[in-house]
Amino acid sequence: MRIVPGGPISRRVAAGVAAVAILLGGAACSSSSGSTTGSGSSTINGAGSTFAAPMYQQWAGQYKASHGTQINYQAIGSGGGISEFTQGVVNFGATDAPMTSTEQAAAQAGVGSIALHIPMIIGAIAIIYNEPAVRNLKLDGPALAGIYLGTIKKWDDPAIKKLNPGVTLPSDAIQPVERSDSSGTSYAFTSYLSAISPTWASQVGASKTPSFPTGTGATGSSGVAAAVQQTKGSLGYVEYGYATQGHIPFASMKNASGQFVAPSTASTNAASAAATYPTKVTELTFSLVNSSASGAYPLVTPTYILIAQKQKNTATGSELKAWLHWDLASAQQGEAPKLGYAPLPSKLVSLDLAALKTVH
Amino acid sequence: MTVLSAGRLAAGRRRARRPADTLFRFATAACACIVLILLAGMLIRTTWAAWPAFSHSGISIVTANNWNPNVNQFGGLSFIYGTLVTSVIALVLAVPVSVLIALYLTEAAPPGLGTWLGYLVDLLAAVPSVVYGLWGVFVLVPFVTPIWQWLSSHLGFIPLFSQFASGRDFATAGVILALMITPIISAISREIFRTVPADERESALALGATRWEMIRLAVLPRSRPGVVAAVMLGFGRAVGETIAVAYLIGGIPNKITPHLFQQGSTIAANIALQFNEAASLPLFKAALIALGVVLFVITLVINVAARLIIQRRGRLT
Repeated sequence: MRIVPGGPISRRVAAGVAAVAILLGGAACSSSSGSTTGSGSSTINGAGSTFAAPMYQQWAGQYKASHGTQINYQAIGSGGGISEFTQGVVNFGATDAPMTSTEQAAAQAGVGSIALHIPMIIGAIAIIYNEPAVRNLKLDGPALAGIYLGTIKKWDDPAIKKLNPGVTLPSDAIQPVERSDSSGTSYAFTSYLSAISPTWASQVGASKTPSFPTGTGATGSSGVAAAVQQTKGSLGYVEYGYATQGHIPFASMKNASGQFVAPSTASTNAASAAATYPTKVTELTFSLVNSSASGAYPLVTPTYILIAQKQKNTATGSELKAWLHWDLASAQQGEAPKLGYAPLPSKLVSLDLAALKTVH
Repeated sequence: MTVLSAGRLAAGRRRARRPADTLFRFATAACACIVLILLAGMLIRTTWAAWPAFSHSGISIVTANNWNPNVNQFGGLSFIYGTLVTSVIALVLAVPVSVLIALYLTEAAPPGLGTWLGYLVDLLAAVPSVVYGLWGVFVLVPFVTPIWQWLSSHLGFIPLFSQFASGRDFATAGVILALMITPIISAISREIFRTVPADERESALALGATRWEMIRLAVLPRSRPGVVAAVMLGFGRAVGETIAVAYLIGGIPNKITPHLFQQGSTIAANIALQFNEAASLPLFKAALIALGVVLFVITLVINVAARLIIQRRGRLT
């Protein structure tokens, strides 16, 4: 009699045990199979610049397909990239603005060796505007600084009139639009204005989060593009790729040799080809704004990857080096114009390769 | 035998219930404590993390208007101003509308329609703020820009409406906040109006009151503390709202102006916009966390004020 009610219970228990056994076994099986597939290739983690993210993510995807190495790139902003790199959370950092000496010292302490800047690609910043009455707007650095300082308030200001002879400018208010989020684009833009206008340099300075004295802030390059397209009389700055993809009119800028140059891969190349680069591999940082070369666009900026000279894990280190080598090859550099960037000049590529050679 | 076992079973159950009760009491008390510990922990930890900024800038973090992280100036008064101005605009726009919605749903709407409209209002409360933000950028800004321009050119003699800039301003941010807090305030108010006993409504009606008089005499006085609480909850949400405001306020620092059609920034928006780059600059990071502490204190003050109002009003009625 007792066995009868006990029967179903013991059967249920047995079934439960079996189920657990199956679950555990399954888990064991899946974990073991996971480790076997994982052992063939390793994973590299990087974080930083949003400006360069489309390029790195494309390269990472193609590299995974051709070489099998997984590269995870998180676009968390240059400051976040520097900080995660310093803490050793990621294998490489990415930043648009070179590290300051304080940041460099902290990084050296954090990763246990000198942190190298490896320039990867070059970008141009377009000055987009929305004033249907004006075609082929021409501007120079002082006029641009005046607009963003709030001293030039109208489209028919004498300073703009002088640059656009024969163009009837409306007396609409100019509404400058800027990035309100932290941005490498803002850094390049404000380093140009600082180079050209002493007032800008002393009042605002070059920064990823400049305290703009006037204008409307928008988030992201897409936000700036949207704000400019929505607001008649507005003017803003975005990565060159955004201007061409959105078919937004952009201005030609007067360069240091007096020519009016529109942003393009060719005018970006003109700036980077003429520049002189530091030869010391540990100090491979430079500015490309306000180039005096003929045909050079003045708002041009490099973007860097940060890598520790002495890799803690040599296997991951050599995988990372291999990926960077691959990125710097002419086939991959040739992809840059499709995303609105420009490739590195060949002399800079050889400097990069020399710097990578010191990584071990 | 059966009687005995049944008795033993009952006794066992009784005995078994007692540990369960204790367990339940402990579990609920522990959960309640977690809230307190979290709150205290957050305040202490953030103040600790913000300490470098407090010791660098002192009280000027909340009194000075010179936010310029590049030269280590962290006067965040303009953010406090922007936070309060946008939230007040939101309340001015949202409170009358929300209370009227709630009154309609509970007092005037046909029962079926009222229920369905109620669901829709609740649904609005669940829309994520980033969706409001994107909708704001692409729909609301083009919609309000001509209205603001018209107000600015026709009522520009009132300082509040003069100096239109670009359609991304205190007023636009206030409107999006109003849209976000309306469902919250009206949903809570609706539940409060429902708690008014039917006896009181009916006695008002029996005395010959019209529907409006019944609302005025029976529903509103009884509900006032609850509605005030609902408004304060909405205010709390408006103060802390981040992404939608960051998209629509035209975020520039250091702007304290009475003109509502000018750009500005708020505490929460500024933290979200600048935190990325602050990660590698310890003092900048501390200053942003300090702004967070200030925001925390502001919400705390609002909540305490709400409690006090509710208590006082509650005693009066």
